[in-house]
Amino acid sequence: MISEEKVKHIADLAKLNVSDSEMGKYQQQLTDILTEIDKILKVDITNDEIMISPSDNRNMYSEDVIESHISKADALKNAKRVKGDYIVVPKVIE
Amino acid sequence: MRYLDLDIKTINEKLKNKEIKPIDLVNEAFDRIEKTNLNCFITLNKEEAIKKAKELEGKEVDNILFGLPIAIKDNILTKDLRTTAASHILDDFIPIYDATVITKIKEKNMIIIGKTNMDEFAMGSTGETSYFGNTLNPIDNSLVPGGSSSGSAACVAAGITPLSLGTDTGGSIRQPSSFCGLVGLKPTYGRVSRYGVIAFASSLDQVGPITRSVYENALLLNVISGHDKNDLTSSLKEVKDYTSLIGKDITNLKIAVPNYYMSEVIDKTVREKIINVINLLKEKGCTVDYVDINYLEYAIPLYQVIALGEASSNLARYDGIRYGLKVDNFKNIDELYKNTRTIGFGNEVKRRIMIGSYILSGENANVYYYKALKLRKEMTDSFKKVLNKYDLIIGPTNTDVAYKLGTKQDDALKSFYDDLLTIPVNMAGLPALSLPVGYKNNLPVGMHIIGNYFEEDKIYQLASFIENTLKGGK
Repeated sequence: MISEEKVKHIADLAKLNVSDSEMGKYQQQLTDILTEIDKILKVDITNDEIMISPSDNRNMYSEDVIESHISKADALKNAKRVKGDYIVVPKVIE
Repeated sequence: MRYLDLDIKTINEKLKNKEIKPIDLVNEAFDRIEKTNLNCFITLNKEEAIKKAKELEGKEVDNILFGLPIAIKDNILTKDLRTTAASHILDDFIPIYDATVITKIKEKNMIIIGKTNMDEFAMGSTGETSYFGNTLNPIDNSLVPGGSSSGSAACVAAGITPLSLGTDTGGSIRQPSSFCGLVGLKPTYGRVSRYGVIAFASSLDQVGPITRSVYENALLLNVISGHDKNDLTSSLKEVKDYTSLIGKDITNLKIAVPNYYMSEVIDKTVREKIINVINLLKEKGCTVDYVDINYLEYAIPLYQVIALGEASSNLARYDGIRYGLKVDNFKNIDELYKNTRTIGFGNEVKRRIMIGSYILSGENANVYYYKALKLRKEMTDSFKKVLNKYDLIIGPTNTDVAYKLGTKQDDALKSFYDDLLTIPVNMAGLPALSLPVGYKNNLPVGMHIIGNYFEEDKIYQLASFIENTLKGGK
């Protein structure tokens, strides 16, 4: 089973907190999924080609014309704290 | 008599000769919602639906879907109508634009009844991961309706609306359609625009129709298909009339059955129902051969890498700043992110984005993700090889029929294994449909029909033949 430290590291990558009471559950469940995932490492594939998407579209260009899309008022409509034309966030520089 | 229980063609005739009005259909839909209590909907659109129905009274009935009530999965954006993806993190989100598929159904003057319940962010196969409580299966309320398009399937099965839209990333249209005895199609990747669809795994997601019959399914696909400049993965290929091959002779069709789809992992009765259909097709003169498709046994770990990797990236946008839930207890930006996301996401979603973030981090991306992309290519090539020789591939949609609510909820792998037979189709980007072909203990068994790229018309051709032939007998 993966360690508590590893669960904390993984949660941190996903920007999530894991409480002490949930730790055991996550250790078990993440271990179960990661064990399952390890199966693909054993598959022997000689071909080096990859597939990222089923779409075969290539270089889709659009005309260079100005169109209106989303208004400022609409763009700010769902934000919780707005001041003028800005969304208020916590200070990120010292 | 209830007009909504009639087929769409008949309803359309009655609308045309003014025997009924759209408002009669809307009233019937809301009447049944009140009588059924299946928790199919997260948000109802009653006021707007009535308003729209009244507006339509002055308009000419100019297409076959005119005035019909439709239900929309709650991960498809509807302007000014709350859209939550069944998540606490979006429970007050009001979209500022319509998804392209919504624009298209509005152009046909269909009437949106409400936004259907689903697994949170489409992650699950039972409807039970919804923040708004689980949906009940109308056939038996103690059973799961399937998922993640749980409400979209349940509401059609309950006769609330004749049609609905779902989304399918690993089986989320086909599995609930199968569990509720309906016809559900996941179109070819790129056939339908994903613009305005809340992203789960962008290289797998497709929107598709859930209906009572094959013909009605094709009618809705006709409307939602097509290129969209706002979705650069949408195909430039011309949209066909997907009803055009329905009723055409199927004698010359060549059909493949993957051995894996009929192996011991599939319930015996389910396999018997598929074999019944195979015999029927052989009698009709179709070629039906058993074939091998490589790497199908790795579909689940492959999906876990691809889908969860893409999900972790797509769900990084829920940060408590621009929209959605925002907590008040934070001292800095990192705490704002973490505290919002920890409260806002449910367990299934958290587990999945944790795995996704981990397998894409640092050297893991080379070890897991790159290997998965190679495997995806190999599996897809194996499908292509079969489809070069055969018109269609058939098998069961699921390993078994609908099961009890609350089964194995703590099992982190359960929801993935439900999608064992549907996931490979999303990996390859192929179109596939689920069709009811019989019953096990009074519960519908779904058959899977997989087609070649952009050959949904051929899928409907075969599905319609089977539907007609089985009519009357179970």
